[in-house]
Amino acid sequence: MTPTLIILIDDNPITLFYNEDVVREVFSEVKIITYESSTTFLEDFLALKFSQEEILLFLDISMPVYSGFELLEEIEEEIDDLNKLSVIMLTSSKMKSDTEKATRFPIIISYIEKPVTKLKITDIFHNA
Amino acid sequence: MSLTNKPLTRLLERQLKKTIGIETIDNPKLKEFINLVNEAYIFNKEEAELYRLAEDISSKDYTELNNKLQQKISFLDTFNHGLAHDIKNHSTNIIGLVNMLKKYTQNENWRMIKKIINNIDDSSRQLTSIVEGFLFLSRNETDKKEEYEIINPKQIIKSVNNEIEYLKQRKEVDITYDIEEIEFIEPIIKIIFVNLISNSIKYSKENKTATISVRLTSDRQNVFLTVKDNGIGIDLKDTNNKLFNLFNNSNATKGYGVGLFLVKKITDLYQGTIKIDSELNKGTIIDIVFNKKIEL
Repeated sequence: MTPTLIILIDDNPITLFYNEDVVREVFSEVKIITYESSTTFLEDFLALKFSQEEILLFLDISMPVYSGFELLEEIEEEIDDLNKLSVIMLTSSKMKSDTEKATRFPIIISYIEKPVTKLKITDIFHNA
Repeated sequence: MSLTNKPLTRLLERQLKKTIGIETIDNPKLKEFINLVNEAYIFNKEEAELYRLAEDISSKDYTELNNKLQQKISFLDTFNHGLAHDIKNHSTNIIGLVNMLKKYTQNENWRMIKKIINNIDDSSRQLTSIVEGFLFLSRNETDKKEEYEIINPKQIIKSVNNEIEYLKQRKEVDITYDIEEIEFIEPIIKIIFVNLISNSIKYSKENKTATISVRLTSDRQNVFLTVKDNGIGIDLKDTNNKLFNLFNNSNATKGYGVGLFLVKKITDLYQGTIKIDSELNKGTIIDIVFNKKIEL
């Protein structure tokens, strides 16, 4: 998969700052956008702001208002064709209930336990 | 036989003498009969006592107590989970930031290095403030009792501002304080204000000044704390009013941070009440009331 746009969503700006740096190392040529608020992202996404892009989304699970999974539910409900969206879920601790939930969403390609590292990202794409 | 009941034995002997028409009870069969009745009586009495106890235990009082205990345990579970989650997040960030620092010192990118150091500073402060709150909660009984003091409004504003200074660096914040001079336990006031204000800033609207008003007042019996903001708000219907349950073990997805849990825990510990009014996209008002003299 070769995304044309990478989006990072995490309610903690420091996590976002660090994750962006790691992701940039792996995808040095791809444009990266960050969101601290899942609601703002949802507004932009549903307004089809990125409809032309092949998106790779790094999505934090634990967030206020819309959690990562709730955000995906909203997106799936509103948009039919999600072929251009791939999601990697991020979590602070691996929980079985989360991995089980992740299997219900076909757009989730993988699951990373924080901290995000170069190796954890490249592993996903080597195995694919 | 040791199982005897004297009044009962005497009553039985008298009745037997009367009915059978004898002067003394020497007949071993009769003696055995008396003993058997005695045993049956005592056994029956013990059983009745057990029944009474069983009834007692299942009575409403105990059920309520049990429910309360159950609630406390599940709260503690939730609290520990939230706490661990927050600590892990901050420590993970610090590790990541230090790795970044190693990378950027190699190519001497000073602009980046400065940013990273500021972030390490923030993360470790947040971590420390979480741990401080937790330490306050887990002090021993003696320490809990000697803390009443006259709280100086200027002093409390200064120390609260100190703790949240780092949050103001990335966000336009406008805080108004209305603080009365009262006699109370200073750390409670400070921890509650720091955590609630931090939340108000963290969950403020993007690209909009976080306007927060903080009040501390009192009357003859009570101390009132209020923190009001214009932030993103909380959907109370969505959380079924179980705001402090947002982190439950199976579903730790709604991250409002450990701050509210800490506030709730401290309020509970000092027998206060907490009320939350919130509307999505409008803001949140949190009211906390304590008795002026808390019995610990």
